[in-house]
Amino acid sequence: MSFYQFALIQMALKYDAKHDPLGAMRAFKTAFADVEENPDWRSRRLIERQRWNPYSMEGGSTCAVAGDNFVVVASDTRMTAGEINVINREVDKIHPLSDNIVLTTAGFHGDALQMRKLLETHLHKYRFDYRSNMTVDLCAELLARNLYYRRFFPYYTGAILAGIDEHGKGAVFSYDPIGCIERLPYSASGAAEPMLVPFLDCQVGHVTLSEGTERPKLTLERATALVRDAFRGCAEREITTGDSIHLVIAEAGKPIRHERRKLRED
Amino acid sequence: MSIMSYTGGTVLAMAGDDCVCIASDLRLGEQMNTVAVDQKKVHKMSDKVYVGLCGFHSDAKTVLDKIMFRKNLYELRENRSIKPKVLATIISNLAYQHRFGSFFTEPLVAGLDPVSHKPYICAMDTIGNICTPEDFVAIGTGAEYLLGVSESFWRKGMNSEELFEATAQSMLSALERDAASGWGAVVYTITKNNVNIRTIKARMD
Amino acid sequence: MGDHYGFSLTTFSPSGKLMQIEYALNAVKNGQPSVGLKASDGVVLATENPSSPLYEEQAKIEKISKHIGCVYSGMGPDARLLVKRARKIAITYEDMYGEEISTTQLVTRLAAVMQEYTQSGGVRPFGVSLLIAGWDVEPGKPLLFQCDPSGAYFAWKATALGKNDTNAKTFLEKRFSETLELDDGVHTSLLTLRECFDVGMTEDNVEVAVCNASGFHRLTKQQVKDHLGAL
Repeated sequence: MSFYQFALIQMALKYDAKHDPLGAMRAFKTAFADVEENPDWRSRRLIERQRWNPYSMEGGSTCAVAGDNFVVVASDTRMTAGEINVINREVDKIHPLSDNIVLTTAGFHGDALQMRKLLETHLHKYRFDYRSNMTVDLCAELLARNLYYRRFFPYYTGAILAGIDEHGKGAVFSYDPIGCIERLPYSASGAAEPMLVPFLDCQVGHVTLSEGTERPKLTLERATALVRDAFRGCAEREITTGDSIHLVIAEAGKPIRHERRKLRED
Repeated sequence: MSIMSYTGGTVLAMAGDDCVCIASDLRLGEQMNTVAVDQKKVHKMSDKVYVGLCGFHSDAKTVLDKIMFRKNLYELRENRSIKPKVLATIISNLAYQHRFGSFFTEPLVAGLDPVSHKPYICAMDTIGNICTPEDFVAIGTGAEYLLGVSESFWRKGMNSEELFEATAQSMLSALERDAASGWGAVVYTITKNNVNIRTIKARMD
Repeated sequence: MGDHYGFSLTTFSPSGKLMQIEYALNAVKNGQPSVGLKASDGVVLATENPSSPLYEEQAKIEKISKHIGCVYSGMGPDARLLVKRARKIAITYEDMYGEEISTTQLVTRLAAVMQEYTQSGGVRPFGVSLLIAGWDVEPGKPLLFQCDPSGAYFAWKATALGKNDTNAKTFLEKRFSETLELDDGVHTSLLTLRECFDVGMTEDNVEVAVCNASGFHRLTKQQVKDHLGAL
């Protein structure tokens, strides 16, 4: 039975044409509106698909590289809707949370903002309660738990938390949307993750070098240069990544530095 | 899991100065199981023309037979060796003839023109849409991983040794992350005078 | 073309000849003369195309693909069908292989069509011979073929078809040289064509085309006039 017929029969039961002559018109109007909303040709599957989706993806990529006494966090600044429409070219997806903690996100920007707010609140409260700043390890664990707390309605983000740990070493923590946490020497997330990661594997992780080959030392200069190259490469191939690179550099005992570089204009 | 990643496999081709490189991994799987570790996805078509076939392996084999048939017929009819561009068009047509019931395989063609020795590389989707970039093409389960690294490794006007190095390094980096490909790789370096075939070890898992 | 029905008209005579094909060749012999000549850097086709102040002109030399063209002697309608088929063969080939058909391939396939009409039921052989001129981009050389109603084809350096073709060929044997360049080729072809002409040659009754690395082109009336003036 089509929606149209269904609606008509439903309406037909509700009025008596003799006593309520306008009823027929009303019934027709309602039926018509119903057909417009749920046309015959639209299958159950299609109706299903058109239901409101609580998530959206704004694209973009981000990565972080940890060194001996520094950490480099990088992200592009493009925000897209539906993978092809650029809605903003100067978005900050890297959020410095304190002097030694940097959060960077990719995925659903709404959730990313909410997550930042959440962490900022926790950090603020921690400062009041304990009169000291949270360490990056602690913050990393906090984020993992908050992500898993929303196990069945997760924050739709690929988050990376980077910072300088209490020994003055660079730290990078990588997450999946439901709080699986891992400390890594480098990590990438977002739309161009499959392009960034093998590059970092090769240049930072040296996985393609045979044993006994000399590995170049990872200096801050080398790390920033590599990250820039990596983004230049994926901006070329991944359409939701582009516009410019936002670099945040945290060095032990120094304030956080920001750097911005234009990417190719397309 | 899509049918395109059922058996796994990756092929990369790069173009240099009067030379091309084509590399393939060696794994053949059935979803998560590895069933063979010496399965090349690159096939010789003529002296300097090679074809890579990724995707569903059964389809890749069938398509290879069909390509061989058409290519042999062409060479007999015309009494000359096939050009990579002509071969690509043949494969593209073959693929499009099955537009509404396509083979689940993405073909790639790499080679030198038998007369002018100009390098040619191209890849196409399952229904034969050819893409001919000047730098490199990748197909298969690791294509996305390859694009990122290759983008950084590729330079204009590389000679055959540099080209081999770039191809091998890109391939190794991608195999590091692609679970559906691996068990080493084989790299064909095609130059005007010879074809150099080298097998490289990667993560053997 | 497997859908012809009925019985073959081309039947062997007891002496082993196919009379229909012989007759078809006679139709060619009665046709307007055409000349083909291979120069060092191109091919020339020339033919008689009589004009009248009363009817609109129709070209006899036709282009088949960028570097291939042809001319015929014999029955016009038959030739037009063959040209149509030749173009189809050329375009199908280009779609299939992504490059222009080579002249030899086109000639082989077109000859196969002509052969089919000597062996199929309900049809007759074509009453035309074709001269097909082409330039093979690889390795860059001129080609000239003759295609007969029987499906036989020959590669020529220079030849003539139609009325008085024996005279023309004798003339060509004397005048042809492989070192000729295209302009001299046009000149020689026109001289040969004059051998077969009953009337005076003017730009209105002569049609010339050349085929070289830049493609197959028909000469304009003015160009023909200039060449005729130089005879």
